[in-house]
Amino acid sequence: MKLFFGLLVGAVLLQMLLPWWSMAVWAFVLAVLLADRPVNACAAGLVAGGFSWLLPALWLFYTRDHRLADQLAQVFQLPSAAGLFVMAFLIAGLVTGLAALSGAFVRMILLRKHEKPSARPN
Amino acid sequence: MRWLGAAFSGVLCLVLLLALSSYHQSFPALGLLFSPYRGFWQNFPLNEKAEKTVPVEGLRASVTILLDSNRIPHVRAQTMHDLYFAQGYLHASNRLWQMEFLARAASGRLSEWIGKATVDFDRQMRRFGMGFAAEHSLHAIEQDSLSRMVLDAYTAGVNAYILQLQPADVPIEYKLLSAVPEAWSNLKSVYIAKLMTYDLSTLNDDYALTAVFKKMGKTVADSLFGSDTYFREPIIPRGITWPFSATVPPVPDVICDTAQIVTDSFVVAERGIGSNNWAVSGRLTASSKPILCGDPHLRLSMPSLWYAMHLIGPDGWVAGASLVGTPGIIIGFNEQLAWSLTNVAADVMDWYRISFRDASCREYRYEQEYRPVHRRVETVNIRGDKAVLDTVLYTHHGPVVAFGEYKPLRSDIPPGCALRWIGHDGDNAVRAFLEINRARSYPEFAAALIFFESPAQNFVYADRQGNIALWVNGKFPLKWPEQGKYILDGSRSDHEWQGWIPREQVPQVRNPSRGFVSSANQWPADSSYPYFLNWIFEVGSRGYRINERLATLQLATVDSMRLLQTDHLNVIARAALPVLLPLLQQKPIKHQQAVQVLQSWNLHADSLSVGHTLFQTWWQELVRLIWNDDFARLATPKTEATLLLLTNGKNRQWIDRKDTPERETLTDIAVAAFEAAVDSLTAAFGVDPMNWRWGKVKQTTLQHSLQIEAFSRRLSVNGDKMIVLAAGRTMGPSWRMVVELGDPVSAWWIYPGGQSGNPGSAQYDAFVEDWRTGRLRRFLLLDPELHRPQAVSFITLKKP
Repeated sequence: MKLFFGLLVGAVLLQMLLPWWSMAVWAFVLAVLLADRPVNACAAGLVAGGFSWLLPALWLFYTRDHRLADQLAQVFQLPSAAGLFVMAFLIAGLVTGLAALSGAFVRMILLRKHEKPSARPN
Repeated sequence: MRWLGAAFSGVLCLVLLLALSSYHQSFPALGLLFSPYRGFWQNFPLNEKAEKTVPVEGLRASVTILLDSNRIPHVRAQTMHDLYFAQGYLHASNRLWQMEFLARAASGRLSEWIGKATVDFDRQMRRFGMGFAAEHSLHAIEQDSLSRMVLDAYTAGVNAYILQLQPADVPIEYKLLSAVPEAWSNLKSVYIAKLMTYDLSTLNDDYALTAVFKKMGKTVADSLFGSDTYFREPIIPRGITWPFSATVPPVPDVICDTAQIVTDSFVVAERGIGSNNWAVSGRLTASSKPILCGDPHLRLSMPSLWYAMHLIGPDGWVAGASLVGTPGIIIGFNEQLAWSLTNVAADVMDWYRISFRDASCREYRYEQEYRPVHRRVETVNIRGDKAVLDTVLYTHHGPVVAFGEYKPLRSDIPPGCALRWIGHDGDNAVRAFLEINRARSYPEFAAALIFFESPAQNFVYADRQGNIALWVNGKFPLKWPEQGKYILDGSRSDHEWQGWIPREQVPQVRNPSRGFVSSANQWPADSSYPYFLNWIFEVGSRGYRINERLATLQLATVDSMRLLQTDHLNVIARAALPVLLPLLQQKPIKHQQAVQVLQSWNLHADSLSVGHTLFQTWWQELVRLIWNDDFARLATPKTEATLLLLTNGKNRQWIDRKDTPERETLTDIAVAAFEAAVDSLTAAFGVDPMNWRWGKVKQTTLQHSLQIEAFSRRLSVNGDKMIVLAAGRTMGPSWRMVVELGDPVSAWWIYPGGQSGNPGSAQYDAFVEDWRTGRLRRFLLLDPELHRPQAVSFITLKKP
């Protein structure tokens, strides 16, 4: 849960200032610091990253004149503007999910190295 | 396992990041595009702030801008510098991507954005000498301190906007292309002006006609491609006496160089660019004040090339249509006068066959000597590929456009020939429009016209003193009769342009007795005008119809002028059908129902009309059957030659088809063409004639420059090419204006588009429906100092 919220809040704040891919760096770093199991980290990354795009996208869609969404759905041959939200969620989710997954694996490698001397005698 | 997992997920993540960040063959970088922080979501327009103050570096004082309900900006500035600075700022804030696209198209730099797909286009623009042209004009502009100040201010205004632009706010097209706005420059504005000159003055049939001359002889060329017209209604009324004596150069012994014909396959560009304008004296209007009307026809695009503005400066105001990317008002009005433009399409481009001394192409023959060839290397940078270096050979005539391995996209460019084009000469359009905008009387306006050189335009004029006038205005080469109708010999001095027609001797008329002046791109004057301007002009049908209606005019009002602008009677059909329809009675016809449709047709190109669709298709088939057997892959005689053949019995020998053993009569051809027309319509649109309705068949398209369907508009519109309401498939009335020169001046306008370039804005296509249905909107003349409560939005650009 800590990882999920950390990812979500950090991704939102970072992307306000930095390019979109900064969320991947953040997901990797945070997973190295906080991840427990790779599969959990990946899921947290996927959902947090996805929401870091989905929520502001929804907000912009409902607070502004969104006729452009229908036009772009046509450009990307999507059945409706809803497809744009699915795409946004998936793009951001996959990137942060994978970044968090690799971060979690790296954490395991680092932990194993760190734990090795003390763990063996038992 | 952990190592494997880390490596696998890490690599996958990096590959995904890379894929989402890169633009590949017109597929956008999805990461940037879909991000709600910087991507397309940010282009959903916000509710406009009613009031905002923007500090802008570079202003001399504050500028106030009132946006009315049409989002037309009414700009008040204390200095000319600030006025044009604000114009640049406003153009950029509404149409930045479009401006950059136009400048890139003109300068052959689209491939930097698009990739390989546009390389041929870019190379053609460069080989045509667009850079050579723009550099000359920029030099001319920068030599003149006033013009330089105006253009510098405009450019500074554009760049001030770009500098403030946040990544999230760049126009959607940049995001689709994964590109960022480039700094604006004076040269880019000049390129856009040159693009207009290119569009309006490079229509020519020289290459195809040289093939006709070579294959069929001069007599055929003279009789079918000569100055004989069906509609005899020149721009300057007949019977005028020219107040000067002219010296016309003698015709040399050789008028055509046929040595360079290396193809027999021409796709002759269909003429379509045409515009209407007229002015009516107060004698013929209900208000006793002159009324001026204009609708320039251009390629219809989304967004429109035009951006409506009202500029209030230290020495008065001017309002009307501005051309995005350039300073000033191009078509408009001020407190004293109004003007509008149509294209002259004089012959201001010619091809000269070059005889190189040897294969090295370092020298070419001119009279008894050899002259050096200059080389200009053009570098076309291509997205995702290595640059193409192109060496273009320049003679004193101009660039050798098609040469060696290079095959141009246009089929009217003869290989091995140098291009002499008025666009290559350095002109100063900035000063021309500045002076026109500042003119407050007829003498001032006439003096301003001298600054305007190309593309030559028919300037219609009306003022509050009651004057109306029309100038066929521009810099015209002095030529022997029909010089440049065919390819010329680049080694002969008597084939060169012989100087210039004196500017005060261009065709012009002021306050003619008939009470109106008009132009629709037809012949400028009758045969009494001593100088040669071109051997062909647009079909005279629009000019004829306009004058026919103006001649019977009484008590004209703004609304009756609006109705004339949207007149869609087909006068070609009116002339041809009395000859053609009886022919259908002389043989049995399969499609009797279609004959009845034509018989009961009211001759109007109405969007709901089936008659116009039938006539147009029949006419096309008829033209094909009459001419294609003789002129296949050559220049096909134009509409007026066909009309003369049908109605005056001239040149009837062409009716018989050479590709059949029988001897066809006009009846045989007309019936065969009719059957073929109905068959082709049935094949394309089905048997139900309701699906043949003109608006549906034609589909006028306002095309977005990136060919994105969702950003374009397809409409069912009345009218057609060669008709007063000249809305064709891709071309049409790009700006309509009616100005009544009363006290105060009042104006109405519309254009197909909207003030915003953002496809996501309601203002992107806000005027389209009114344009489609032929309505006009009142041009409100608001002043930010006086009418602040009427503002939809009020912007103050503040000196920091």
